[in-house]
Amino acid sequence: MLVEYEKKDSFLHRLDPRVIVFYVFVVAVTSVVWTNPLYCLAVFIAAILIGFLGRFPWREMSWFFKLLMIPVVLITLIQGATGDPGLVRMPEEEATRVLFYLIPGFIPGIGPAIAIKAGGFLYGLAAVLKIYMVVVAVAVMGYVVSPTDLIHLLSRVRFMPRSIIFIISTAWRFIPLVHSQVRSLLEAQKTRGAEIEKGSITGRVKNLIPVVTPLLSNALEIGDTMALAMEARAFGASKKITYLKPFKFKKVDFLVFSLLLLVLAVIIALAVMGYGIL
Amino acid sequence: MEPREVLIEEVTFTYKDFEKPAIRDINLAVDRGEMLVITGPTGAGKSTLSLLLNGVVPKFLPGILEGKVLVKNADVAQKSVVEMAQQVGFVFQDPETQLFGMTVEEDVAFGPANLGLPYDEIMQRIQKSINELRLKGMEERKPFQLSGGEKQSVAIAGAYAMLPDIIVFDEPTSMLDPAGKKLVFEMITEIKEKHGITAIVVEHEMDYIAQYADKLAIMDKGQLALIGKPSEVFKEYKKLTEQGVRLPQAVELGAMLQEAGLIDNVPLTTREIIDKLQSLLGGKTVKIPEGLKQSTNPGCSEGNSVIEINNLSHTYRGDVKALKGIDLQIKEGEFIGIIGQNGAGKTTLARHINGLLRPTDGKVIVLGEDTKEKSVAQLAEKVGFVFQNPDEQLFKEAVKDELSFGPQNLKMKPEKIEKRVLETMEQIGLKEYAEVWPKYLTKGERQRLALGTVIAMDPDILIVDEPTTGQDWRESLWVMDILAGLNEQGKTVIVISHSMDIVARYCHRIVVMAQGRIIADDKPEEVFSNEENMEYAHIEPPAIFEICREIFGPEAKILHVKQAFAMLKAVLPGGVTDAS
Repeated sequence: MLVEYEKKDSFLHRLDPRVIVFYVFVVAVTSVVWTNPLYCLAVFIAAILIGFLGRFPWREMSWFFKLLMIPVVLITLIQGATGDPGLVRMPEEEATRVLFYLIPGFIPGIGPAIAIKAGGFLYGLAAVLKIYMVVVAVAVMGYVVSPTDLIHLLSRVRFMPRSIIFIISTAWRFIPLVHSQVRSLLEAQKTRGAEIEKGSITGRVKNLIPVVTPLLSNALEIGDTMALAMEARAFGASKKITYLKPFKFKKVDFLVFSLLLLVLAVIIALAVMGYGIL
Repeated sequence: MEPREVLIEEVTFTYKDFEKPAIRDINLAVDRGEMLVITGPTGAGKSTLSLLLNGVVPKFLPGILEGKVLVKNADVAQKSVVEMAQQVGFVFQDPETQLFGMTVEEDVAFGPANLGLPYDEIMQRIQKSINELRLKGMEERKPFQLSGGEKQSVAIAGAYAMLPDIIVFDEPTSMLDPAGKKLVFEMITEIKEKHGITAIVVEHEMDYIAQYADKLAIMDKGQLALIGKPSEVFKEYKKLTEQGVRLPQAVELGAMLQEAGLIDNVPLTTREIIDKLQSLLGGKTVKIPEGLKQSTNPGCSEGNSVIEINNLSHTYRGDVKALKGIDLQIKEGEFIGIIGQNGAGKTTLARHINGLLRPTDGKVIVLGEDTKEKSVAQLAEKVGFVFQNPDEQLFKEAVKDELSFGPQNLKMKPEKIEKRVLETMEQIGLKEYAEVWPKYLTKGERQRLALGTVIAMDPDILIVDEPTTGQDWRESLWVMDILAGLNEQGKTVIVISHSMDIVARYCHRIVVMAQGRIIADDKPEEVFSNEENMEYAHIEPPAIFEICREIFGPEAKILHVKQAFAMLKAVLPGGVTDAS
């Protein structure tokens, strides 16, 4: 995960996990119904501010935002250059207005070329913001709701087989294990004289190949022992497992839930009335 | 008569697709509230035997079972694995593979929740288990942030929460430092004594076994070689030594004294032998007999300095200060042991010498060059580094490819590579395995191969991180003898270890670390005599050292059992001096 779950005493941590999941749902719906970058920006900022209610460590996420600049630039430029003006509900001449040229006019011979048009550009920008707000909401959820709670929630979905749920939660546990194994195996190569930090991208990918076999065989071995340990603790003994934390809606949960419901209704109503849409 | 808690009758088990049985003709009985310890070399069948008790063998790991396994007078074969899970708890070696909860509390609840017990019942059981295993106040902590000993306590609590009659421990301490090992054994003893839990422990640590076990079984090649009270089993010390079982030093010394007719029976623990000797010597400390030299340790070498570390500090991400102002000078041809608790900074320090870590502050000079200016790969030619876990450093499909990987990176000529690989295979005793996939080797062989991958590169300095962890005694000595051989050829060897016996036996100089600092750096006998430092670093000197200090006073700095024997022979009534 981007930022791992941490047990803290914050407003969001105290809320029932179902309320948090509903919040992510609201953001997700919003990202579908609103297409205006300004509106999307507002939701994005709101999602970040809500993170503060859960004492989310935004500083640790800064690398992620930096990394995300790449798709932002790419998507807005590609959309700007190729976007169909019909996607945007704005006057034709506005949508096709050229903002700038990717290859500026002062480059002799080829410039000016590749026109970035307003309609596509805005459409791309909104698309990026939509992804961002969902990512931010999910990251905050991952930080304030323990994975066990999420898995418990999942397991209450009717007809969800327990084995599937366990596969998900075990996979979750495997991530750090695999991570540390890859690191060890790469370090072992380095200490045996392999220059794995230098070289081309293909060279670096090549260095990963020898890691695959030991990684798989180690993972199988760990999985075997885990299975033994699970058997020894009666995994699968009873169809009905007992939940350690029975979820209970408190007053504040009802309040926040109702508020979110209201927000969702307003957002949809606005969209229907034509607000928030390009 | 009360029925036996565990009764194994004429049991032979062969895993599916194997020809040879993993265990053969086993007869064994354990009573309620006993602690049975099973020991023996790796591959002797100890784990197979323990997995029979909850029916995982043969229900989960199939094969042919002959004979009968009875738990509380009921045939395990007739019961489901789930039923057995409530009678026989299990604690495994590696905490990582047996903790399933996000918090300590959740993990302890895993088993009872699987049984679908009512909520209140589960909460009660959690409370009880957490109190018993001294985990109060840690309920909300993440298991993987705890120390090794604490993690194992959580695993024991998880097993205990199933309210079993029997708990099986499969090498529960082999990944822990001495403080963790002690904690785990204390916990086992406590739940055994307070609640009548029967404990069956597979273990290598002989000192703890002698101290805590009610019954001891030695396995070898799938068979029970010996079984009985520890005092009875240790009487067969000759047979034990042949089987590659390490005797506790107190027993080793006691056996020698008994053979010489100086004491009547072999004591089991350090305390017992001290008491016995003191009573024989009239209760006062005796002078070290003259003419008997104390130590023959060559001590610190006078050679050229190969590693210079000045004021080294390292801070990990998240402001964890792992090293605080380290100064260390290592000379050519030294054999150095770095000791200290987990988290003391031993591995962090070692990783600076081959450049895997860069100093946050200070300097590390290796063979005249600043490590900051070199990549790990460049330093690899001079500094060999062997990691703790062979499985995380072997990645080739055959032993010979594994060994040639390093030399190839160093751009050695093909003829030279071939020569190095052959020589190394000889040196590490894997000559016949050139084409074998490393995964198919035994644990000890993989450890030697990991060492070999570095030897093949012919570095001047070798750093080895815990080469004997999880190995049986015979394999441990094998690995250390290889290192001693390299040291004699002039290589500088640095070993990180938790085993005081090992460092006392091999190292010429010991560096003691605690909380990111070097708190002592001297000859082993000098390091061990500083009680204050030892206590601060949570280290116990080898048993023989303590025995001699009690008998001969603080001036006695004895590291070897043979030396101690010669001295005691000279002073004990009925003994004679034969050293001159």
